[in-house]
Amino acid sequence: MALETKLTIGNDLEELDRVHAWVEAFQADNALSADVAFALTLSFDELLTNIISYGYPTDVQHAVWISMRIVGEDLHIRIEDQAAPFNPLTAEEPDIDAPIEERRIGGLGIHFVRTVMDSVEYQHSDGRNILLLVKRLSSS
Amino acid sequence: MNDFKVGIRHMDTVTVFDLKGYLDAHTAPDLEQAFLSAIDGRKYNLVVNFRDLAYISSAGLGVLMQFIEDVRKNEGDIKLSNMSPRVFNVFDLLGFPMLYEIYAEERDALEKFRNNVTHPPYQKPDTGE
Repeated sequence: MALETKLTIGNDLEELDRVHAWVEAFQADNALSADVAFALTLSFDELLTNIISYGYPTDVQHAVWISMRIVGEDLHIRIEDQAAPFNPLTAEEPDIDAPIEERRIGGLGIHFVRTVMDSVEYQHSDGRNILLLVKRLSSS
Repeated sequence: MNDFKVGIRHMDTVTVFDLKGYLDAHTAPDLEQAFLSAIDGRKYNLVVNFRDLAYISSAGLGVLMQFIEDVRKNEGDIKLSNMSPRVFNVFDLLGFPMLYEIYAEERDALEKFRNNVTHPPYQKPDTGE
């Protein structure tokens, strides 16, 4: 059982495929439920898409460091990048009761992440944006 | 690996999109292209069949939102069918069942078009305020 796994990816949306496979392998190694794996895949997808699309909008290569670690009954996720300081958690919550013509496409991803994870925190230190997420394994 | 594919079928006046695999920010442009080709051909009666879709992120929902107004303005609709519980959950989290008709089976969506039932105008639920 690998209780911790790390991956470094580039700022390219093609890397999402590699992240999916990496989450699947960790799920298999640790016998995680399909619901937990879905929450992990969705969270990485949404947060990494934001970083790749908006944090690093140019073609210059940058790295994003991601990791998963099982700590007791919790699964901890860490996502670090060196883009300009940006806290995605300050994004406005989408109005999910609004009619279609008033809907905006932005902000949906972070809403998903908040819904499927048990906690989401943002820090900025040593020139890095750091997102720390926790998913409780027992509740699912 | 995590491939995504869109198949297109024409059923009478309805264009059906069969989605397969992983729909995320990387693959969403393929779906966007499929919608564009239908709309360029003035096809506005659209059904999206999710039977073989394993996964959808907000980028996939964004594509549906991008085209729905244009399609309804042309008296068409985008109806959705055959979602797995997990994919339905993603739509549900954002209140999409109020905005789109979602059917258990594709034939029910096709039937709705055949009977020429247009999308009901949006009504805010009565919250008693």
